[in-house]
Amino acid sequence: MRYSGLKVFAEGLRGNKGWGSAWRKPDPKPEYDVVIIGGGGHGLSTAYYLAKNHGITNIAVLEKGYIGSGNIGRNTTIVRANYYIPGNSEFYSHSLKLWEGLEAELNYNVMHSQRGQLVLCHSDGQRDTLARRGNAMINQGDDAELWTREQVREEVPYLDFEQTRFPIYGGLMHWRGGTARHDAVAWGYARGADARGVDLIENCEVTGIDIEGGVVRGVQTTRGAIRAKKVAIVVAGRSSQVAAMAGMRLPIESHVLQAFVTEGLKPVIDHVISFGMGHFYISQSDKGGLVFGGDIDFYASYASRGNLPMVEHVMEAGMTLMPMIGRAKVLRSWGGIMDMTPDGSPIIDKTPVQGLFLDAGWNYGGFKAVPASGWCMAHLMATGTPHEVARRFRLDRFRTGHTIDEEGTGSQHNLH
Amino acid sequence: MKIPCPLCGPRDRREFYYYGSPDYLSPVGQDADLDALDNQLFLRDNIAGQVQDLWYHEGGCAAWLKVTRNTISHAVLGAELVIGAQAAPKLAANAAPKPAVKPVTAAAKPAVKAARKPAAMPTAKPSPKPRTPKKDA
Repeated sequence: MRYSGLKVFAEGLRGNKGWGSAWRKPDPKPEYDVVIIGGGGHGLSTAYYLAKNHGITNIAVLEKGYIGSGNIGRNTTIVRANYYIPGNSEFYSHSLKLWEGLEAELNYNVMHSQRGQLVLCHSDGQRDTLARRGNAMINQGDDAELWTREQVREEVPYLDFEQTRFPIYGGLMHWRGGTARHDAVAWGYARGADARGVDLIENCEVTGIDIEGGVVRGVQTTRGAIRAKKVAIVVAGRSSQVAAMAGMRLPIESHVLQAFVTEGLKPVIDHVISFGMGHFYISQSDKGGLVFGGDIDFYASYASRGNLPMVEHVMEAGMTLMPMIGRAKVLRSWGGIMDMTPDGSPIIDKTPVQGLFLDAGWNYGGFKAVPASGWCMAHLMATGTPHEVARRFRLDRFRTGHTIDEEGTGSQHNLH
Repeated sequence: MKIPCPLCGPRDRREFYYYGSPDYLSPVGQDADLDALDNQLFLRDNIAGQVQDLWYHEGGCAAWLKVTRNTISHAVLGAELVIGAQAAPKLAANAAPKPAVKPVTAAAKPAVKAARKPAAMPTAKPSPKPRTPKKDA
C-alpha cells in the first residue's frame, strides 16, 4: 500500500478501515539466503538495501524483541555529517545524502528536519579544531560555517554568554545537520523491507550460531533452527554475546548511555546545540519535548538504565549552557547499551568465519549512520567487497594499527 | 552506586575513575606477538552478568581496586586492592630469610565505622516580637 495525501483523505472518508499492517508477521522458514541477527535500525536498513540495491530478498531479520524496542527507538535523534577523520568523513557524508532522500525512498515520513547543528567552542584551541573540522567537512562536499561569538549570539540568544567558566568563543554551524523521528526510521525501513519480500521475525532470539568447518550454516533461535548461507550480526550492545556463539571475542565493551526528554514546551530550541566543554547535546522534538543527553556513565553495563551521578552531570551541563530550561520538567529518562570500541569508530566487516558478517561498534553514534550502515553492509554481504566509504571499518584495525580515533583519546573503550 | 574501598569503606561512585577490564593487569610485554597484544588491549569478554573491573579511587586514597559487580543489575558485590593481590606472590618469593610481608587483604581492612547520626537540625529561634516603633512624642 502506497502512502499519500490522497490516501489519507480517501481513508478518512471511509472511517480509516482500509489501512493494513505496515508489515507482515510471518513464521520463520527453515532456510533463507540471508539471516540478519538484529532488527534494529542497522539490521532493518541492511535488509532493505540488500533487497533494493542487490535484488536479494530471501532474507529473514530476527529481532529478539519487537521492532523498535532497542536503541533505534531510544536515541537523541541527531543526524549530522561533521566528522573529519578519513574513514568517518566520507561515510557520514554518504549517510546524510541518504537521509535527504529517505522519505521519498521509503514512502514514509521519518520527519527528517535539517534544522542545523551548532557545535560550540570555548577556547582558542577549540576554535582552531572546529576550523579544521569545518574545512574537512567542506572538502568532503558538505557544509560548515565557522561562527564568531556574535554570530552565535544572534542565532541562539538564549545561551549563557555571561558565564566565564566555559565562555562561548564561537561555534561551527552545520545547517544540513538536524534530527529525525527515530521510531519512524525503524518503521519506514521495516515496511520497506517487508514490502520487498523480507521476513521480519519478531520475538525471535538467536541462541546459537551453527558453524561447520569454518563456514556458517545457520542459527538456532527461540523459534527454531534456521539455515542460512550468509549471517549478519547487527545487534549493537549485545554484539559480544552473539559473537561468542561463533567463538569470537570482539574489541567491544558495552556501556550505558542515558537520555532524557522533558514535558512538551512551545518551540524554544530551533537547532541541535552541542556543548563544546561538557558532553551535552540538545534539540526540541516536534512534540515539544526537549531531547538531550550527555556522557555514558563510564562503567560497563547492560542494565539499560544509568545512575544519578551522570543524571546530575548532564543537568549541570544543560544549566551551564542554557539556564532557561531549568524549569522544564524531565518526563522520563532511559538508557541504552552502547557498543564502545577502542577508537570510537564502527566495524562493518567479514569475520574469520566464512559467510558471517559483523556490523557493530557504533558507540553512541549509530542513529545517523542507519542508512549508510545498511547500504554498506548490504554491499559487503552481496558483493564480498567493502563499500568504498566503509572500507576502513575493519574488525582487525586495532591489531594492525589503522585506528580511526576521532576523539583522539586513545585505546580505552570508555573514552570515546 | 557505592564502591566498597577496602581502605576507605563504601564510597560514592563519583570518587572513582573507571578503567576497564582486569586484562590491563596482565601486560604481555613489548615482544609479544600481535595477537597477544590485541587480546590484552582491545578484545574483551564483555560479560552480561558478574564481572570484575578496575576502578581507581582518585577522590580518596588513590588505590587501584578490582571490583566484583553485576553489569545487569549494577549490584556491587565486593572489591579488593589490586596491589595487595598482585604483590603477595612476589613478596613471598623474595622473603625466604625475612619474615613474609603480610599483603593487605580484605580481611585486614579497618572496620567500617557505624554511620554517624546526622547532626540535629538547629531549631529556629523564636522570632523576636516586632518592635513597635515609638511614636514621636
